[in-house]
This record gives sequence, C-alpha cells and structure tokens, in this order.
Amino acid sequence: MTASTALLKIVDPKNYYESYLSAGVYPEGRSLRSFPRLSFKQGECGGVGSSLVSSGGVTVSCSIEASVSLCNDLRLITASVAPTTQLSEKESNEITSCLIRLLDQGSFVSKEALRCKNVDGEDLPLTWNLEVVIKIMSADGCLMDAIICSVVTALRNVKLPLIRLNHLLEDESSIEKNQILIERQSVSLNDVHVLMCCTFGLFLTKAGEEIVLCAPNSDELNNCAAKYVMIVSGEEEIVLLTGNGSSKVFDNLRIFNSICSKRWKLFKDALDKPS
Amino acid sequence: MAKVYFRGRSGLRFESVSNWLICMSSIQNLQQLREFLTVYNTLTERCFSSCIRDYNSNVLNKDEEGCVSKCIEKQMLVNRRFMIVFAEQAPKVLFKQGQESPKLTNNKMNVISEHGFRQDGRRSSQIRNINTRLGLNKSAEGSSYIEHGNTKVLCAVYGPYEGKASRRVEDRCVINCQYSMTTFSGLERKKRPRGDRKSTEMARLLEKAFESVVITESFPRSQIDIFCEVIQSDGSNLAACVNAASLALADAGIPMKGLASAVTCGVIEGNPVVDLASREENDLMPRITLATICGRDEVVLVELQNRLHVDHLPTVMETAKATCADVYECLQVVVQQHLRACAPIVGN
Repeated sequence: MTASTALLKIVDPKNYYESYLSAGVYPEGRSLRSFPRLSFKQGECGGVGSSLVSSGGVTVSCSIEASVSLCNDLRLITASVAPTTQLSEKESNEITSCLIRLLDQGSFVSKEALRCKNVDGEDLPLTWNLEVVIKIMSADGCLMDAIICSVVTALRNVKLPLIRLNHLLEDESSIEKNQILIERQSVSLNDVHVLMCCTFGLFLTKAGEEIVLCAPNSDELNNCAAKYVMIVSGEEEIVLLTGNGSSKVFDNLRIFNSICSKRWKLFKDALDKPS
Repeated sequence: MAKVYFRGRSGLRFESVSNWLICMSSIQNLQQLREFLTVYNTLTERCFSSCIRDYNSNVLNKDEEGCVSKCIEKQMLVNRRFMIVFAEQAPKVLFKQGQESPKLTNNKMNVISEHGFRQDGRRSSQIRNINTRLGLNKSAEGSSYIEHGNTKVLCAVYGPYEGKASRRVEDRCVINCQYSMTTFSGLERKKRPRGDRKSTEMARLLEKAFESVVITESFPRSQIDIFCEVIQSDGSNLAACVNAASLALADAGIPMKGLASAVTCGVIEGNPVVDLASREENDLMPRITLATICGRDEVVLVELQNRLHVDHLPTVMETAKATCADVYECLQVVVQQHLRACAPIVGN
C-alpha cells in the first residue's frame, strides 16, 4: 500500500473502500463474492476432540472435554469463549449466547447421539456431557464463521470411549462411580450436523447502490451500512439469521442463502474426505 | 354398603354424607379435603344428571337408588384401579433412574384452528390491539408505554449526555440499551429481572438496531441510554421493545432516520402467522423478528429463531414487512397525536 492510499484509508475510509469495491475487488485483491481461504486441522489441541481453524485474519481453536453423567434434562453441551484481549466482553457474550442457542436447538448434535453405549452397542442410562472451549488467537475478520467451523470440525473429531456398566438396569439403587468403567474401544459421534456460517456486509456507495461483501474484515465491516450473519445446515435449511444495520434490498437474503449453501457443500465435502 | 342419597337441586337428605363427613374429619391435610370435595361435587353432579329423573318426590325411588349406587360403586372401583396402576407404573416410567423425563410438550399444538382462527380469535395476518402512552416518566428525556395485546412494555430514554470516558466515541453517539423483565411478567416468577443471558442478548439486539436508526453523528462523544422493562410478557417481546423504544426516542426528540416498527412473524406449515403470542411461540416453530424504518424496505433488525426452510423465507419476510408497515401507521398516529397535544405547551 502506498503512502497516499494509506493516508486515504485513515482520512476517508469510506471513499478508500468504495474505490476498490465499486471495481469488484477487495483491497487485498479478493473478488467480492469469494471468501478467504479456510483451513482446518483436527486433533491438534487436546481433549476428546479438537480443531484449529484459520480463515483470513481469524484463527480459532476449539477443544472439547467430556464427562459422564446420568441421563437428565439439563444442557448436555456447554460452550464458552476463553477471555482474550482481542474481544470485548460484550462481543464475547454475544458469541457465547449464539453458540448456546445453537446447542440448545440441537443444531450441532442431537441429545440421543451423546448417549453412552456399551461394547454391544446398547444404550446405557448414562450420557456424555461435552464442554466446548473456544480460544481466539486472532480476530481480524468474521469470527462467527471461524468459530462455527471450528466447533463442527472439533465435534467431527470427537472420539468417545465405550462404557461398561457393572450395574443391573432393573436395579433401582443409585449407580456408584466405581460401577462405571471405560473400555479401550472408542467411537466417533454420530449425526454431527455440518453447519456453515457466513458473514455478509452491505456497503452503501455514494450513489446509493448496495454492494454485497462476503466475509469482510473488521475495517470493511465497520464501514458497511448493514451486517448479516447466516448459518445454514444444508442446501435448504437456515438455522440462524441475524442482521442489523440499514439495508434497503430484501432480495439480498436470497443471495446470502445461495452463497452460504454453496460454501456449505464445499465444507461438507472437505470434512467427509478421508484424511 | 351404606345407601347413598344426594342433596341436589331437589333438596333431599344424603344419609351417607354423614359417614363421609366423619371420615373427612380425620383427614388432616386441607389439600386432601379440597381434592376430595372436588371429586365429590363432580360425582354428585354427574350422577344426578344421569340418574335422577323424577322430580315429583323428595325421596329417591327404587330405580334411582339402584342407579346411583351402581354409579358410585363403578366410580370408586375405577379410581382404585387407576391408583394401583399409577403406583405400579409411575416409578418405572416417570422416575426411572438414569432416564430423562418423558417429553410432555405437545409438538402438534394447533396454533390455527381448522377454520383459520388462532386461540385468541385472530386470523393469521391480524396483529393484536396496540395501546400506547407517551411521556409517562417525567424524569426521563423520553418515555413510552406500549401494549401489544397482553404484552406490556415500559421504555425510558435518557440522553444524550456525556457518558463514561471509556465508552466515548469521537465521531458519534454510543447507544446503550438495557432489557429487563419484571419478576412477575411471565407465567413463572423470575428470580432475576436482568443480567441473565437472554436479557443481555436482547439488549445487544436493541443496541444494534437503534445504532442504525438514531442519527448518531449528531451527538459525538455522548451516550443515549434506552431502558426497556417488560411488565407483562405474552410473546413478541423484542418487537414490542423496539416499538416502545422508537416511541420513547420520538418523545425525547432525538433525531432518527424514521420511526422503527417491528413485528414477530412465525411460520406454520409454510403459512406466515404475525404477532405471535406466548402460547404460539414454542421451541420448534421458526419465527422472525423484523424491524423496518417508516414501514419501508429499510431493514434495521432481522432475527431468526429456530430452523427455517429457505422456500418459506420470501413469504415470511414479505408478510413481516407488510405488518411492520401496519404497525408503523399505528405508531405514526400516536406520535402525531402526542405532538398535537404538546403543541399548546410549546407555544406553537
């Protein structure tokens, strides 16, 4: 970036971005409808399942710890974002509540999939409790996109051991800790739903035209008139949609959905590919 | 078995009641007594309606006696059998160790009847009655009270004022929202009126929405506080808060791009249902809260709860947009009336 463009970016950021976006590219050279490269690695961060995801300027790690409890009606998967100086408390709470909402809806994995099984594949009156911990290493971009990807990838990486229960099912007495034994065999979680999160910005030019930006970085997002986050779990199902800001065109939602669905397909194919 | 006579509308004496009353005196628990009386009264009513045919005499004839005895005996036997089965099965089904409690929610609750009416008598496209008042709170710069049917929200606006230095932004105003529900607002008494995860999330949504509505560049380095209190919650709380906050900001005279109006719209079998009540909001029905400015295409808030099929998105968005325009018309009238009422005071 030359001195004059750097100065323009500081003095008049809107004009700076408009000059690039009107030409159909971001300042870093990416085209408007393309996303930054998404890379993920599984099993690098400890726990029963983990992942490290990097997308543009965002790097996020997710690790999952497991514990056993009796079947109950309480939340079986909890999520938390580790405190970091890169995020304010409000933003951190927002991300946590969004994750908890998705977990409560069963959008990632159903309750039945967390049921403990013995070596014969039979259900036991025990269930796995998962604790998802997100650590944010760098936050210059669309955090939710990377966080959702990391949670899905980590859940796909989860391997839970089979359980041997030395307690008769018909026995009404309480199950003691020493009656629950862990087998050497472990199985992956069934039915982990693949979700794809995409953040979109709507940039308003001086002429009043709205330009759709896919996964803009923080600076670009601050200059957008509206921001939308869409999470899909397939080509036809929207799991979450939040948007705020001033946006004039309703048809944008259809565009968001089609872009998100295509990206979901690519992500799912990459996850299903044997490593 | 003691013969049973019923004191009903005919005024006849019930001999066996005295036996029952003697039994009742030994019953210590008032609750048991109440339950017993409920069963007794129900039984009396039913047996009288089924068995008593002759009103020309103040005593039961032979047929009526026989009918009543059999009625009572059958009821007692059924109750006893029911309690035995319950005592056998309940520990296995309801209280079994290591099992989740059975799901008691009715996922197939009929929100719309076969004739196209909802439980409160509205059609799918009808909103609830909106009642408003402005300027209730004299100590606030602006305040409003709004009712969407049984959902009642109070809103107060303070500012713009010079807020905390740590939160100040050089070129625009900071919007700070607080959302709280009174402990008596819902069906169950809440322990904490604010500060829980849901309240924080709602407050954040309101902040983001009003950052786009208020012309924040007019008040650099200052802060506007918006406090929303849900006094009675009967669904569409977020939409009601947006509408209340909009009116309160108008009452405070804070410059905005326009009045924001909001509505919550659900989807049932592909058909949109607007302005949901709390009975209609459940964990399965997808619903969208949409807020627009001046009822136009300009969207300031979209919030989707639960999964939605993409084919339903255009329909529900169009319906929500049209309903926002209707709500805007109501709010506009309210603001105009308030301005006319204030005009003599201002001297215009």
